[in-house]
Amino acid sequence: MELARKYVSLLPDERILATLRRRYPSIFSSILSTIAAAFLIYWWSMFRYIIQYSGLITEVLFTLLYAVIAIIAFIFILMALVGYLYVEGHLYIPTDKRIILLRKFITVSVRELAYSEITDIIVSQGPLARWLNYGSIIPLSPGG
Amino acid sequence: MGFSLSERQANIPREIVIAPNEKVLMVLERHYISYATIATVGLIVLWFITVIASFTMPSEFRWIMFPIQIFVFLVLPVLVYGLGYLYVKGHRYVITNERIIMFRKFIGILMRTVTHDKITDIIVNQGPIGRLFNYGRVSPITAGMIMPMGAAIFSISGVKNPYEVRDAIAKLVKEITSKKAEG
Repeated sequence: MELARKYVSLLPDERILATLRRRYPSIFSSILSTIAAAFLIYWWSMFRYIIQYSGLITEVLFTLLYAVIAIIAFIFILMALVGYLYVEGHLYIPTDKRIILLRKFITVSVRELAYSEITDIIVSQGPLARWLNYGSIIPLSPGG
Repeated sequence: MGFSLSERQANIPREIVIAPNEKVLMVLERHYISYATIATVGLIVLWFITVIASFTMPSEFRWIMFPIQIFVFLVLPVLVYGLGYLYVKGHRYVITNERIIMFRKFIGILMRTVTHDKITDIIVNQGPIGRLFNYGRVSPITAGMIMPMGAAIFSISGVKNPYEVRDAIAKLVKEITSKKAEG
């Protein structure tokens, strides 16, 4: 609520209905997607590398395996540290008049959206999100 | 499109919550052919690329193409058509007297909700196969949806009798708009 006090000012007759925080596991699905994308991009280089040294295929495969494990471990450690601060910087406040979406991570971003301006509501859940019961709710307005 | 109430309730996924004063008017499903057409075109393109690659690959590396050919010509069609069936079955479009709920459950969940009073345009799209089998895509457009990608990402896709669906939505939009104007 420290975040809310500093960056959000409520209207005189406005009532807060709930304060929602982003869940920490939600960042991991993004990490997994990034790793998968990086792996796919790198796939062709690995393929060519294996063909070039097909005589030493076991050695090459193990070198690549160690490299992939090291990269994944590095990304996970980095994201565990940075991701914690990123997730903690999110706060969502639905009031009886509007929704306030606040993000403080390096920069500060505050979005306020009146219910009357919402045109679409999109709910999105990935497989991990379904398992751990969290998800994204995207309220769309003519502003974007 | 004539469903009895029990059929409608049975067809609504548990993730969709209907308000007590809300009336379900239609529950629509996606037509498998709408997916199969796109999947077949994709597979034909991929088969074509694989054949070209097989002929252009230097002879010393041609052995690499064998497992790729097995995958592309035998495994991939089974995966595409088999998983596609589950993908299509995961689609539900619920039209109530207040809103349209477009729901897709396949690995993850994606749900778009739009109230009738926010709809600005309705687009119906039918390809040649769609015209033949009488299915199509009905896209309810709102001011918040960025065109054309917004409409393509989540619409009422591959439903039977798309013009009937369009007419039903247009009628609801008109009713809501006139109620608002009176109020």
